[in-house]
Amino acid sequence: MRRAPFLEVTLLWLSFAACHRGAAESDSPPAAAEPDARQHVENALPAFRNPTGVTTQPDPAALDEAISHVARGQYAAARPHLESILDADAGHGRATFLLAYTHHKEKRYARARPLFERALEIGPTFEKAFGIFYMYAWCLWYLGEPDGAAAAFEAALEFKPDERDAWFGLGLVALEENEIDEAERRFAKAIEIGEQLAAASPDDTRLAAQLKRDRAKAEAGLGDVELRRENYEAARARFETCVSLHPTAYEAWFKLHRIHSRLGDSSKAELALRMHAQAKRALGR
Amino acid sequence: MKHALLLGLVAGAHLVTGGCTKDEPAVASLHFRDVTATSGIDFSLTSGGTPSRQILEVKGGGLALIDLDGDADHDLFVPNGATLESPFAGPGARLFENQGDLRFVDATEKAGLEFSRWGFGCAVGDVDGDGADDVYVACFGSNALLVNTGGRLVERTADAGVGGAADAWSTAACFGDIDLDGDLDLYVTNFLAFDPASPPPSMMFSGVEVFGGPMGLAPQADVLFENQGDGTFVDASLDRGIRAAQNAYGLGVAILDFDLDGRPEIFVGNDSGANNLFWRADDGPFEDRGVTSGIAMNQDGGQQATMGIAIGDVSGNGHPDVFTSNFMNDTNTLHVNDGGLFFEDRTVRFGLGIESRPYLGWASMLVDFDHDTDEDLIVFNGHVYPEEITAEHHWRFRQAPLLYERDGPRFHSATADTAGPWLEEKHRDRTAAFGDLDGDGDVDMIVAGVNEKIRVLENDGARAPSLIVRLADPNSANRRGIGARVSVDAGGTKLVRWVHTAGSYQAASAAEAHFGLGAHEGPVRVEVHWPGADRPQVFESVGPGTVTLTRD
Repeated sequence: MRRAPFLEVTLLWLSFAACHRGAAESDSPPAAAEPDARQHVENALPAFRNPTGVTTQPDPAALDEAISHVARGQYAAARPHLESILDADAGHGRATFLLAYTHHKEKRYARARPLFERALEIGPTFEKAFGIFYMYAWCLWYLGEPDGAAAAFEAALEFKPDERDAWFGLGLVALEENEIDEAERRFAKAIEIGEQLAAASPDDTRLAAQLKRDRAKAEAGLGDVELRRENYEAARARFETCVSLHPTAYEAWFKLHRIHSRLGDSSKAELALRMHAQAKRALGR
Repeated sequence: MKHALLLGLVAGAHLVTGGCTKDEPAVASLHFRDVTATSGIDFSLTSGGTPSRQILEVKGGGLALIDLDGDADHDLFVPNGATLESPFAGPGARLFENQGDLRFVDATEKAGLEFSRWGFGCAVGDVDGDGADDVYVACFGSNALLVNTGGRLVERTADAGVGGAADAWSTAACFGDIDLDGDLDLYVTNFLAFDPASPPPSMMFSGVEVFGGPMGLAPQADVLFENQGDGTFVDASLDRGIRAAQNAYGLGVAILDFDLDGRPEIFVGNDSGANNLFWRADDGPFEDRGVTSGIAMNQDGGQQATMGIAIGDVSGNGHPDVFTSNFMNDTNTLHVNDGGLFFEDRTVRFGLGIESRPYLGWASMLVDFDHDTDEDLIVFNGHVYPEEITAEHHWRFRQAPLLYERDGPRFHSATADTAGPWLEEKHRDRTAAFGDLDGDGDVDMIVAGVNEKIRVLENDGARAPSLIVRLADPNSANRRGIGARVSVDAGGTKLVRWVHTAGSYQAASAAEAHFGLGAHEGPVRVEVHWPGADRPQVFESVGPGTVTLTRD
């Protein structure tokens, strides 16, 4: 994948974090010595598949404070609260997960990674804790480990099959692995899920906005698929759809600039380049 | 079309079509071994202190392969750096003379080498057309031209007029015949304004406080020096249009005819900014075509760090492609040259993207290390921030190199299991120079990191035959044909390489074109597109081995 900040993991998983947890202590066996990412996923899966016998972890007030900071993007401010919880209870799954999340959001993926792995080891101690797989997947992706990311995305989909962003992530993995047709299928799946969700909740404007942006991401993914096939007209159409849905998708504007240049349309190429610069300025980049 | 003119094998070269003679893998492979201990090179590059406190300490410095004594092998020049406490007087440069069989001796005194400024990038070329390699060193402060006078390196900076500004921080330099008048001009990249006595305040990176720069510091303008034909130069930056480009944090430069129009372009790799590609029509001033060509940024329109530069024909279309190494949390980038000055980022397509994200890349090179006819890729890595910081955030302070073997349409990572234990050793590497150090027909490597011992890595895996083409132009001051494009037809397989010393990172590698010939045995047909020539010169029945081809 090429860096695509607008594709970055969003606060979506805050919904997981903000949910009430059912609390638990992991009954999964200790991990093998230095397992790789795929092994971490496989080791954790049984406990998440069968979360019986878990015990409720205390939910300290500091957690609410931390979540409040995280929701506002104040990651550094959230960490002392989370660390205080973990000082008292090193096995606190949700605090571990959120601490990982704060590092991830500040692009310290290598620091987030062992915390996500620890959260997986602890197991399903809060409601929708399976979201750890999803965040772990993106963390691995940004650490340059597509194989581990694929395993974690697939695990996330096992628990939430309509998680379109996991399908999108799997599409990126397929592109990276040169499986172009598979990438297309996965991006198309992300779009299909989005359309189903939109049809099911036609009046949910917040969801609609989210779906629009996610559709733009998937369209860009399909644009990349067409670029790999050197179908430049088809790619152009995909990227144009992307920017029509999400005008600050500066990466897509730049790809349009390249495509128009290749196709010999200099005026459209110049316009796309200007839009690229404008989008970056709008995002403060 | 010209008749074949094979001047002959250079002494020391031998054919490598026979069986294994070394105690190494029986099967040809991508494999190196670290022969530093027996090489006679026992020297650490100085680059500030450890831990690094300021940006000045983490950007270099360079290495250069130079045939100082005219015996047709590669000697090693090490400009060496200095420290923040004494930034204009370091421990001094070194010259290691190649004695053959991967053994070197310190010949610093013999070479009369007295250079102790803070050196970064090196360029090697014959500035005065006397047939001997000279060396230019990009420095913190005034740069240096060390002219080879009978095997002694004598500073002639002031006479030649190539010192540059005293307050500049130059990082890299490259020779090329910009105006096609037969002599070597010089492009120098400058980085940023830095005063050791008044260092910049710290900044935040990924929420972590680190030393300041480059962002927020004043970038400096590059300089194009035009050779007057007698080894003296004038600053032509303004007249030639270079000064019209926005100042940038320049880190690397390569001069080559990227669009095959017969005139060289200048590619400049800039840190944290758009790269430049200076192009010109006819004799007019250069225009920066970086953005419109597609090479300024990656496929997302992202400006990258662009430390290392590797040039090769990855796509096989005979046009020079450009690989660049970048900062962590970003990928390295391969810009494929589709011709007509149109580049496309095909990093992911060639399998070079995601794996590089945790690495901070520097010296890079595309070379057919295993002689299977396609070019492999090496990237040396290492972090810039102090270990205290990198450890806390689980960033890799010392980093292993990335070695990719080209296999069909993609590159695949090699591992230490097959390529040798050197590949899993972690360093803070920066620069590397590439050339056939032992005359066995394959390309070896010399690597240096920040305040680390220089390492010599012998290519001991290549088994198939190879051809190394050196050029000689007796009628030009550009004696080695720097900038020439060399094509080989090896039994129907067409291979293209370029004679240049640029790229890697702050290094000057051997000015020769190297071809692995794979299953092809026997001589090959070679076409040389000399700089400024209308038509290629054809040499029938050349090699294998190391040959020198002379221009008519």
